[in-house]
Amino acid sequence: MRKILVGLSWGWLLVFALIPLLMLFVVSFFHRGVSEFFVVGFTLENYIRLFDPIYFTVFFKSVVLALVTTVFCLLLGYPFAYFMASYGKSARSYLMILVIIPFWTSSLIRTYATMLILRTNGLLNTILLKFGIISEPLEILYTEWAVYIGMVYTLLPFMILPLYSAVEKLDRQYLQAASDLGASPWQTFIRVTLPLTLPGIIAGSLLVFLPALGLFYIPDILGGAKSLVVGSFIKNQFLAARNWPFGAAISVFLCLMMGAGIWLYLWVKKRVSPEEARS
Amino acid sequence: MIHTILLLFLLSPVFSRVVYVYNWSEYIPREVIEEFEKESGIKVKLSTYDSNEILYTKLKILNSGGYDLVFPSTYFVEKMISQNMLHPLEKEKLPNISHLDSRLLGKPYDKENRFSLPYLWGNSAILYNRGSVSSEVSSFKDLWKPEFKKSVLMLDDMREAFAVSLKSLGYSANSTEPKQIQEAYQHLKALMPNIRIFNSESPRQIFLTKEVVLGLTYNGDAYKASLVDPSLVYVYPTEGATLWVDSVVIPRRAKNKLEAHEFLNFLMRPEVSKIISDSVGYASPNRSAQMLQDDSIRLNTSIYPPDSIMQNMEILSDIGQAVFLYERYWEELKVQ
Repeated sequence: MRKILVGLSWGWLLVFALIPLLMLFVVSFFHRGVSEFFVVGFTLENYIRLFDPIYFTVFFKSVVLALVTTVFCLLLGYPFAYFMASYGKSARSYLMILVIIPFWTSSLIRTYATMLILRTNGLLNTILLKFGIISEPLEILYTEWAVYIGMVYTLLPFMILPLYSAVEKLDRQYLQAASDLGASPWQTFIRVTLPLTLPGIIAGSLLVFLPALGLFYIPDILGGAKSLVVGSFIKNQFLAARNWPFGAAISVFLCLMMGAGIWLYLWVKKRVSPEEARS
Repeated sequence: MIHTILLLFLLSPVFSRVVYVYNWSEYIPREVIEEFEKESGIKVKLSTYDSNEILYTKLKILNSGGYDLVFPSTYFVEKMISQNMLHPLEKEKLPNISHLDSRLLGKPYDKENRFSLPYLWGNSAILYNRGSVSSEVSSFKDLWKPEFKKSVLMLDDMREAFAVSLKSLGYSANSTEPKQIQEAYQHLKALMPNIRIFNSESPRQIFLTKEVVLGLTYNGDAYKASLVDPSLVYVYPTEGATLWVDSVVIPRRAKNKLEAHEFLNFLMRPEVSKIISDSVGYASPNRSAQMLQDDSIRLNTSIYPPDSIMQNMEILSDIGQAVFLYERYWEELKVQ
């Protein structure tokens, strides 16, 4: 029975993950066709093209977008996870439900809802104007601000959940010991809490950073499709420009980048967890 | 076993004939499909797309099969014909052709209408909000005015955007001259500070929520927007708008060609074409249907432009290899 299950999951991975990836890899070395998606052959031109300054800019901007999103998620998610873990059991599960509820609807629909809130005569501006906080409606929709708001909103739960599980595991006796030994709350945080929750921070950051690199509909919908991110760039190569080899090459490159990120995570985790085990 | 098969047979829908239709989203009213199903006993399986590129890519992947009736626009018809993706129409099965408006037949992308017939047609020109504009808008050049900083909507369509730029420079929207294309790109780059958003899914909503003041829009969308907010005015620029025709074609490897012809003939019935045009807001290519339409639509110049304006319009055509150059500039435009 076990063998069957293991075989099934391997088969599943093979058919739906490995083979498509392999196809992508192979196509990335083909030539572009005018009326076909690709012409069989071998060329490195698709990879060389990646070093063209304009594609470099696309990558750079996407990485910056993903990084800033990760930092904001961390700044918002850490205190939230910390306080969530310090509440009583029932309050915790209540808060957890609040974090999870948005997943019940499609993130695309939530992005459109964000649009309704942010637009010139939308909910946010109406409220701010009514309370006299601003005199002119804020122009948020179709700017970078809107993109960041949408990204952070969509990805925040991916930061909170691993952080929460890290903070929850934290043995509160260490904090007490630190303060008994004369550490200030700040010192305790920096030297005890932070290192012990580091695996959670890294896991959360990766879970936010990697999807943030690939999300294309949030910049398209909330940013007004004015600047290309790597996700929409790949989509365009496959659908609009129909340059499959080049689209495949960008995808392979992106996969390598993400793979490097995960490797880094495992490496750091290995260095962090022995300490955890020793204690 | 026999029982199960018998049960499946009995439970199978009343329809034994089907037609797979792939159309633009919100481009065919429910009632038209229901009426056809009731009358013919053919089940219509409808799926939708929102760009020619997606339609083309899907048909290519399916090797010109999978669907029985699809609706590509102008230059995509040309592309599909040249790549042998279409089935020649069997005109003897389509008596309702006689109702079609000759002005929309024999267009350059399919000169004898061997493969395609017009379904709806329209144009792309400027929609602006009279309340927020200090002077009259009459030319594509007005989009570049400094007073419209961050208030222009541009269709998120490479060819349409380049058409605006090329025409405002006095060139053809179908230019294949690298010099002209580059000039048009520079000109579009200068327009970027004015562009608030690229969108071709629902420009109407963005105008109605007042996020933009003016921009390039499809006439049907403009018409619908002006019904809600009368201060929105649709103008044909002096340089000439772009004219497009959404055609009906049958893919070469379609399985239900007979049903496809039957449905196509039904779509060309004057009463049916009228219902479609009325509800979608675009012009019918059906002379007899036009006669049945209400004056408020039939005489509306944004839906049915007068001949003098139509003569000034240009149809986007397939530009072959030059499209790679356009794409390159389009990417550069969006990277900055």
